[in-house]
Amino acid sequence: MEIIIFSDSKVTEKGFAAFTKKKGNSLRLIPVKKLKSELTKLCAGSVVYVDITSLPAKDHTKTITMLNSREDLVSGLIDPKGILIDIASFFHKGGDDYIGKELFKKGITADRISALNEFHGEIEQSADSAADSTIKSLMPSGRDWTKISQGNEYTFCMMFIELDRINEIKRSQFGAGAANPVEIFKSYVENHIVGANGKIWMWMESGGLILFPFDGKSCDNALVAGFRMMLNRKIYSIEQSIFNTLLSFRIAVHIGNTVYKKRGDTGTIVSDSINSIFHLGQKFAEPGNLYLTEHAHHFAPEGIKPHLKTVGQFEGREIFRMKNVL
Amino acid sequence: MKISPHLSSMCLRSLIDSLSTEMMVHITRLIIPHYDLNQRTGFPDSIPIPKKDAAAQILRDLRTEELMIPFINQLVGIHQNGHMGRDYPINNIRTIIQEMYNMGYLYDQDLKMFVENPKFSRSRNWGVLREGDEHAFTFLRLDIVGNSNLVREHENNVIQQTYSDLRSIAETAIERRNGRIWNWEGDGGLAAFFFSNRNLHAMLSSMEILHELFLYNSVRNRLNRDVSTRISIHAGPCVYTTDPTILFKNETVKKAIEIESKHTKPGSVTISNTSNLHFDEIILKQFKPIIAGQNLRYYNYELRWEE
Repeated sequence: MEIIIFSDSKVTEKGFAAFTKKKGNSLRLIPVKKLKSELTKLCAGSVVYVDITSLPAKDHTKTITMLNSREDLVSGLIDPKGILIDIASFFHKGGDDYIGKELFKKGITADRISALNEFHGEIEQSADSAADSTIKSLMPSGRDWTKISQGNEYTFCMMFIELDRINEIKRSQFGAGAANPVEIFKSYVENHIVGANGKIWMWMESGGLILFPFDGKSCDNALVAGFRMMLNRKIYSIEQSIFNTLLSFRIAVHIGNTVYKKRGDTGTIVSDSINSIFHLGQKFAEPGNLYLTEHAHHFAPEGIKPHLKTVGQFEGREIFRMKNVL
Repeated sequence: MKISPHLSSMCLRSLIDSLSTEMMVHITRLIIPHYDLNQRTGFPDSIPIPKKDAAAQILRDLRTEELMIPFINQLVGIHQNGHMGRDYPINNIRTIIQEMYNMGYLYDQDLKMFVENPKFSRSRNWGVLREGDEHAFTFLRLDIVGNSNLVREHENNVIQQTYSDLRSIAETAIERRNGRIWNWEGDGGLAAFFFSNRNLHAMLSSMEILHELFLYNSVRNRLNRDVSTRISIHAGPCVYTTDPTILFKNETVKKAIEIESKHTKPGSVTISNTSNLHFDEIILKQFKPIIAGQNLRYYNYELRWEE
């Protein structure tokens, strides 16, 4: 078995001497500065530790979030100087192991690592059961629209988006001759999704459903478009002063299946995924926020996971929210 | 810039129909000081110059010295606002403006001058600024943090691609708001904004660059660490020049560089007190005031995430 440790300290290896002594076990030491790039390359199930004392205190939270964003790893912290104050928070955020000052001095054995692996396996099994049922029934639609034909069922990355406080906006500004704020909002959405291969599939009064082709590997196109819309709404609010205030809308992202029909012919479609995303966007989502289901989170780019936080369950699925920009 | 024969003949007709010879000379002297029509035409001082000859000579001289656009700027200004308390309606002025539009120029009411239409072309001087002319600009200075280390630690092709991506991000955000990148070295650059909303446009561009860089680092960055920039925004007078040596000696540009290097944290934008005036309340809320010295207050923007 191999353990990967991100550390800049020469004494780290000593703590694992008992582990490496056992035949077949090895240790790979990587400088902490390579954490971000190396983390993405690790295979699922790898046992990874980060030496927290190799990092400045201001980077602890960020590093822990980054480490735990790879939920398929067995993650731990090494703290030979005992500097971490809130150890439990590491576990709250999904961590699996903590090696403190005394334990480090005593040394880490092969048995301890085996026990850790077993423990992590049990946790994963229960947490992944809901996501697994969807992920196993994937029918990827591809990276673009070329292979998508009408009448067939595919897995898409679905995005619900809706303007907040529409009645208020209409009352205050939408007079005769004035620009229609919904049309302006719709063009903002279109400008952001077009380069990401997204298509508005259904559009109601002040929002709708966008489909992005899904290749079974990543929903980065949709999420980057969603993040970009959220980040740039301040800029847009100023450039389009019609809103007279900060443009506010809700986004929900989900990976799900539906039969594809062209826009306008969607009235007869029955899809559990479409129902779910509408419920999430209309019943659960708070104004001005972006949410994603655990299925979308599973396929989210690693780089944005530190900027997502879990906000509870909805209709049996764990829901994540994009952290607010203060 | 080449003036079409059609535009020349329209201007000729308008001058003859709308202005006296004295007034034509007067307007011309606003562009070419001490312009002497008699000397140029060969008419002795004692003989009045016919309007047709005067207009033809003036336009010929303006074309030769490539000063037709400043002259047309004056004609539009005089038509709209009169001169010395008198109205001077210029015949066919709308047609002249339309012809300028067809040639790729728009009339900016705030600057009171024709400028390049960004839909058609984007030149460094917006198609109108002349070397040596002083104008008010807003500068956006951008610097890549830790450039030397990044270059040392990464393969050349990876770093080249990353820097090219960064330039593309900056260029898109800046040119979308009609700014121009005047200088770009490997590790950053200087952009200028010229139009009436130049402070706001520079600031929105800088915010967009920070947002895009965040997305780039999250999804596309191939380096072993985030690419981070320091951006400053400062407004002031500057003589238009294509010579970078002269440009970087300008006090406004020097100040922009100083604000970027001394008062800006990595991953943030600092706006000087000369460029933050009259901003919308929505935007002011995004910035935090910082004290940069005695009686000197700058404003800082960065992506601040909730924990």
